[in-house]
Amino acid sequence: MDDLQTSEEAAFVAEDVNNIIKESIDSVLLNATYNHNKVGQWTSMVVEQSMKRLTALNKPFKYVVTCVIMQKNGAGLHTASSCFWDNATDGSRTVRWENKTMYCIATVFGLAI
Amino acid sequence: MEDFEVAEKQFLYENTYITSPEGYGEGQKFQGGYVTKEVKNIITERMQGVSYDPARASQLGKELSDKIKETVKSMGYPRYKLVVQVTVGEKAGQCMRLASRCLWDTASDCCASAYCENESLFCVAMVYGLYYE
Repeated sequence: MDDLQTSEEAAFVAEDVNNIIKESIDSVLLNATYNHNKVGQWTSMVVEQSMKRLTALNKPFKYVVTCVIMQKNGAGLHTASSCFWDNATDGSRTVRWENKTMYCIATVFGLAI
Repeated sequence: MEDFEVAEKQFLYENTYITSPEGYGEGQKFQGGYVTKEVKNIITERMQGVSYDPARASQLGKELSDKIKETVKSMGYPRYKLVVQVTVGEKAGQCMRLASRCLWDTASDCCASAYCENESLFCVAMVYGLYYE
């Protein structure tokens, strides 16, 4: 049976994913000030836009996208992740973004089918 | 004396034709409820009497995510890839929102999450189980 995909297409390309996440966050949060009523909507929008762009890449991947938006208050925040997967085909990317009033951390995990 | 090599036996695996986790038997599907309970126990136990320390908090997050991953691995879901994400933060009156979305097969994949807090810090743990076809 022929290989339907080249190994290039079937690997997780971190660069493309990085740009996708950054653009999604910029489109939602650029010039925004922290607003308690809107933050739920913002997290959903960031995650949904990232997901739409990731699916447009048309790769044989399952994706998990998480987004944390936190108000700037001087408090500390740490995120850790641990994964059980195939190193050759799977990968993740985290993007940290901030403006004067809030922090946003978005992570994408891509796992090959 | 003749020198002869023994060729390594090549194993050819046949197709199982099993496409879903249930095909391997009962209880092979990732059970969100049980995993949530285990994760909640792990984080509650670990956070007993711990106060926020900027130098140690990242270590705490890494330890927790590794421990949760090993525990879920031992729960017996052999064909599942796991992603564990732990967020630890200081409580200082700020507001925070955490959201996630997944693109997966709803029939076979699942997630579990747990939350714990004490006077000075909070911890959110999320586990995603994705079936490897």
